[in-house]
Amino acid sequence: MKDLAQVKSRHSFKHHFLPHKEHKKRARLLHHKFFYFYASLFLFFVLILNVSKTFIPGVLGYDSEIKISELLEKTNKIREDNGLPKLILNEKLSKAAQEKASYMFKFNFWAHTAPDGTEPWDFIIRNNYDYSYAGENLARNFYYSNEVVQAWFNSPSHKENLLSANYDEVGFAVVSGVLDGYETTLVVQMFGRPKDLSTLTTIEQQNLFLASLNEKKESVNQAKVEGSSVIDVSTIFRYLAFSILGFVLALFLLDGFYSKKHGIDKFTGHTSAHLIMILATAVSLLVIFKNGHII
Amino acid sequence: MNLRKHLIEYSFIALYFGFMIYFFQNLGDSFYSKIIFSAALPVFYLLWSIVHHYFEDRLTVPIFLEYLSISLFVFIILLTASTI
Repeated sequence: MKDLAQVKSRHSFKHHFLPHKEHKKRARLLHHKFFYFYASLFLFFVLILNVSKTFIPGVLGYDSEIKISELLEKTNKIREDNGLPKLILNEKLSKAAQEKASYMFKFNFWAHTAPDGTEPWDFIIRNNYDYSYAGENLARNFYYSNEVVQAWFNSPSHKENLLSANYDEVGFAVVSGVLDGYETTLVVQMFGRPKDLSTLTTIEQQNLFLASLNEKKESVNQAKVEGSSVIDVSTIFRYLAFSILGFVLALFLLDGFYSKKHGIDKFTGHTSAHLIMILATAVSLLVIFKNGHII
Repeated sequence: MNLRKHLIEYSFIALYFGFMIYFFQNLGDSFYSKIIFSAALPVFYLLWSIVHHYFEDRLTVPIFLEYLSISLFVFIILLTASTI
């Protein structure tokens, strides 16, 4: 009796991972009830994140390696490739961009126009930049400078700013802070052409400003090392999502090969179609995680 | 696996998925666009499965539930990933 119970138990455990020949069913872990369980795991994880960001804001977030010099270089590379003159980095526009980023953190919004009606141009005017043309691009949660500029280039409205012949100068700000409970890195790009063209920034002024930015960046990095580290939400989620997708994918592959090998003709949906769906989901996740957000 | 038998249909699904993923790469940051992105794949998949199994005369409640659960699972993963 004991042996029979042991065989039954082994048999039962095996069918959590392998299809059942007699019942013509998939492995138990591929049963629809288990998919509801996997989905619940994700929802539970999101719930934990939401609770965490409420009680310990700023601990969860995104880490980034974005540099203003690289943003400028990539922006100008794109302009040059399209037959346009390079933009010069302007200190006033950069200060306006910095103030805009700080304002978004202070009033917890992510938009061109603030909830109180403050426009991007208000920051530019406040910094005594008398413009004839001005524009703004925003980005958040990117890891690298190249990805930010590429995302703007891929979006028609942002591309219009990048490739506009109406601008001579540009300002950037890369600011980290807590937005909507998450530690976030915002990138603000402000374009302009001064009314008085004799006030255009010279290359020497630009280089001096870039040098001062590098000094500032070093001191910020030092403070960052001494301060508390951020737990990267994206990385945690990536591990969880790909682990579960990989597990499901492996089960479906095993299900398909085992059924073929043992001639099990199951009365279920199509394994190959499910495999395509799971792979498409994995690719979609890569796209989602690769991209930050732009407006 | 029945890959060869339904090769054309599977290619159609893969093409649709590829097109959708490419299309939604440059979608805006609004809540609605995230919902649309997350639903585009699973809703199509569920509808495809209903039509496909109906014409194969294999549309049963367990099969429908199988596709429904996978579609829901995918929708939740994509929605949480794009809103996190």
